[in-house]
Amino acid sequence: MDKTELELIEEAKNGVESSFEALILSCQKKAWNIALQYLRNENDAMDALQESFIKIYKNLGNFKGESRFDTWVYRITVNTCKDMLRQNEKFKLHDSLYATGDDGEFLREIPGDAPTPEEILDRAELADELLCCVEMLQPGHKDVIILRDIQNLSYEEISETLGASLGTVKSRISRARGNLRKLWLEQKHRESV
Amino acid sequence: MEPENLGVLDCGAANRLISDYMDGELDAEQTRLLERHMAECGACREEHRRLSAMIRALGEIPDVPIPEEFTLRMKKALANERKAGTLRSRRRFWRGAGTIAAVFAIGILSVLVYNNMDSNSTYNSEDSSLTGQSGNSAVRLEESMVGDAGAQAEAAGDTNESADAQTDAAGDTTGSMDTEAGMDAQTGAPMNTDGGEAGSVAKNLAELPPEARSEESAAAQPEDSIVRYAGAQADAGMASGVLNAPEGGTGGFLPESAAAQPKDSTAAYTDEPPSVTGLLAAERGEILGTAQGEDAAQRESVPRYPDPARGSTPGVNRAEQKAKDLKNLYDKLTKEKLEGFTYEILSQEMQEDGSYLCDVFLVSDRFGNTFNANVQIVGEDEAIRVLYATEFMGL
Repeated sequence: MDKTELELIEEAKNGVESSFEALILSCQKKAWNIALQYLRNENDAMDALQESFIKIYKNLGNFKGESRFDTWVYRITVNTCKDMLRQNEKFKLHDSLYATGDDGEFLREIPGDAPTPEEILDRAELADELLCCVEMLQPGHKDVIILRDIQNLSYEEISETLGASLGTVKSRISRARGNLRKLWLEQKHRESV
Repeated sequence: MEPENLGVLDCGAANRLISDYMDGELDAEQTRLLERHMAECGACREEHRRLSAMIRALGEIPDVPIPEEFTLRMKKALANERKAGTLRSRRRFWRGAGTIAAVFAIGILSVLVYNNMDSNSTYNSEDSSLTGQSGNSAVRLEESMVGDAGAQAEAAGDTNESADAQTDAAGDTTGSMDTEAGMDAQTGAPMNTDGGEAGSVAKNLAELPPEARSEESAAAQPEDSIVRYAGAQADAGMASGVLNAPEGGTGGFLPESAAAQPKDSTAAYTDEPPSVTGLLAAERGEILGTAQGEDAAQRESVPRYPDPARGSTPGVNRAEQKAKDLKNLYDKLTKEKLEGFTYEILSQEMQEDGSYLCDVFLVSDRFGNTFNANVQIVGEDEAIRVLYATEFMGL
């Protein structure tokens, strides 16, 4: 943890509002997208993120610096999302996160080098397909797919976020990918029939 | 992943390595073996290609920008939290200040009463005359305090109370907190109108355990946001409650005697500081019931001293006492169940059907496993069970 982050944390613990906001700003985008991929709904994700940030605010004194601050934030976010999913069965998917407007343009800017609208559409459809399959994974596998393959966290960051050993993370990723591929193939097969 | 045997990989072994290979997690030898196998095995080569495509597609799922409204929402929520935290700090400050003042006052009062008792040969008659006067003043003092204590007890009785209710409770009691806290912390102060008890103030005080008298030391404890329930900490006299504070330094510890005495659930609440009567009840021990000639509803929230001169305690509502004992039992079982965990009690109360319900936010366990999840503890037939716990929690 670099000194700047440490200083911000100490200031935030002492009630400096701007320091807390600066801390959160550095990781809120990823936390938001993690929540979105768990809950697949913007309003629900906002509720989860707000609840997570309030928990973080209230428990700053409990953060001992044994892990990175952002992985601590992601951990709380993941657990809050899982809480909401468990407590409310109505959190079934899904609104497409990659909807198109009335004239066909995409409401989400898709980065990268997608030169044609067809390719953009393909990517959006593929994203939705995959996220549907991710949703069907068992909880532990869903965690690592979201954190590793979608959010691109490192193995160490995932280990800190989930509170699992590196070995557990590696084996879980391997099995999760295998299961996801099977689910995806099954879904494509069903669509083709 | 265990390193494969040097030499040749079979397809099973190769498939197990492909995932780590794509993340660059294989050592040089494993990489060489796998690449050699895939060069010779079309099926594994195809597996690698498909898996890579899938992972690439997952990685290309675009991030969604945070909605504008979230920033405003968050600012408002944090402002509310800060406001609630400031109120909690202010109440704790007044309680702490009042406690310190009370310690001095009790010393002076004890000396005065003791001297007064000591100088009279007929204890009982003096006692009566004393309490006749002090009892009257105690009535007036108590009547003003009962209303405040009732407001506090009501505020503390609901851990989900809104910040507005907290404000009202704080506003109602702030002005009288010094006196109230002072009287409470004395634990020998005439908090009753039974009569005949003021004279036994010094005696009762002497009977109290030391830790109950040194409330100012508990109030002066360094503050923390969440405190573990642990045998060692409890033994050290540290808080055995869990408090939630918006910033470090604005939480507070409950006195060990207050939280450990299972007589009043208000001592175990987290977001709310315990009510004055709750602390008082915990430190005094038995809640004895109503005095004669008083409004029973008013008396309910104000604990009484046992009166040695009178012997057995009059007017105890047995059913009420039984319900309180049952709740104390469930509180105790809950605390034992959660020993070693870091947690926050969100609510803890008896239901209308006689069952017990406790909502807990479980932060972590003694091994450092973090949960940040809600569980529920239900009490029935003098036993508790935990709902919504995962197997990893060990509950």
